[in-house]
Parts: sequence; structure tokens; C-alpha cells
Amino acid sequence: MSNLSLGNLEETILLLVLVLRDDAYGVSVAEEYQRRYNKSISIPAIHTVLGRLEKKALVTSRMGGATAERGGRKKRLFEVTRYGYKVLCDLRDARAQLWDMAPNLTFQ
Amino acid sequence: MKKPNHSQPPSWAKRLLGWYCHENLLDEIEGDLTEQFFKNVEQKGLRQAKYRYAMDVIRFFHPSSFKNTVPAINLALFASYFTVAIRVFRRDKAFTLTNVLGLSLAIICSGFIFLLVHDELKFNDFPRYKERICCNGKCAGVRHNADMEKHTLYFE
Repeated sequence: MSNLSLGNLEETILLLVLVLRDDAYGVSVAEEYQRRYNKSISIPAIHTVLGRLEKKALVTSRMGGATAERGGRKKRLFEVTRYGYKVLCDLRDARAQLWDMAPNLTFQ
Repeated sequence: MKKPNHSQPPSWAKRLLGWYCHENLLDEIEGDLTEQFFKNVEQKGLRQAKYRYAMDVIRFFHPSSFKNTVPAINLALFASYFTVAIRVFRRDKAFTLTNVLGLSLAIICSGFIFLLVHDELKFNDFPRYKERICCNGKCAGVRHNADMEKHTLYFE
């Protein structure tokens, strides 16, 4: 894991980019986030986080095609890198290990 | 769902975005906002969609999305100035010493002069009849005239 620090929102959005595969860009990530967490998130917030993830080399991006509903503007499509995928797996495994150690509590 | 003709993002917000946003980022930013706008029109209504579009344009107002119109300050130039200055100091030691000592002495002197003047101009506030006290021939607040002599002078 080295000295990488990944915030909660960053991890969530990285995971969303992974799930959305070939169609991960600002609006689709925002929609998926809204659907999963029932919380609205603004496009600028998504862009900021995606920019940060790209700076940390967890995702790469390329320009996609333009559509009419975007006012003829192209979209920037994101993709998880091998390093990003490894970071996500490490996070999941670390959490799973902790869950294995956690006691099985039953509350009255 | 029919789309009314006027369901367009607010033009002023669009112009503002085009004004400050870098050309390379304009595609993704304006595209995403436009797409979101039309989805919002259908889900939340035109008013909300316009409001959100404008708010998002304001939220994108961030140095990371600006045009490179502001020339970057050339830090290398300042570094060069410092290097030259340090070399001059090393070469002309006596000159540097007199300059630095003279300047520091001057700063110390002016500091002491300020302190002295401040002390001379200070006036004790606590006496009850302070306006009647004369100090170096000047009176605080009251003119020094014949009337003054009728009053009892209060001394510290």
C-alpha cells in the first residue's frame, strides 16, 4: 500500500469507475453514486475526485465521442489502471481480514 | 417527453464557463453539465435544472480549470538574483559589513527615536482634572488663557 492515502469518497468513486467499465465519465459516475448511496453529488465534486485519482495514477482517461445531448461536447472516459485495481484489492483484503477477526455480535 | 424550446442552460452561466475555463477542459466540463442539465429538466423541472447548472458553473470556478492567461512568476529569476547578491557579499566583505551595520544602526536609532517621541507625547489619563494640567506650556484640551488661573491646578 506504500504511502498512498485514499479518502473514502476517492475509494468509492474508484470502485464506481471500475464497475462502470467502458462508460465511466462525470455524469454516469454521479448517477451511479446517486443510485447506490441515495445521496446526490455534484459534477464538480466528481471531476475534482477523478482528477485527483488520475494524478495518483489510479485511473487513466481518454476523450470519448460527442453526442447531441451533451451539446456536441466530447466526454472524458476514465479507466482503472492496473495499479488502481491492485490498490482496490488490497483495501478489500485488509478490510476482509479485519472482518474475519471481528466478533459475531448479536444485539438484543 | 416534449422538450420546450427554451429548455436551454442559462446563457450567462455558459458564457461565464467559456470565459474562465481552459479550452482542453471545456469539452468534458460543459458536456457533463449540459447532459446533467437535460436529465435534471426531466426529473426535477426547468427551474431546478437551471439553478443547478448555474451553481455547478460557479463550483467549477477553480484554478485547476482556469485558462493559462496569468503569466507564471519566474522563480528562477529570483533565485538568480539571490545567487548574484550572495556572490557580491562574499567578494566585497568590508563594503557589505559597513552597509549591513549602517542599516541596522539606522533602524535601531529610528526605533529609539520613535520610542522617545512616543514617551514625550504620552500624557497621564488618570488625574481627575487632567484637562487643567499644563505640560511644557501646552494644555491638554483647554486653551492656556487668563481664565485658567482661576482654576486650581492639579498636579500629579
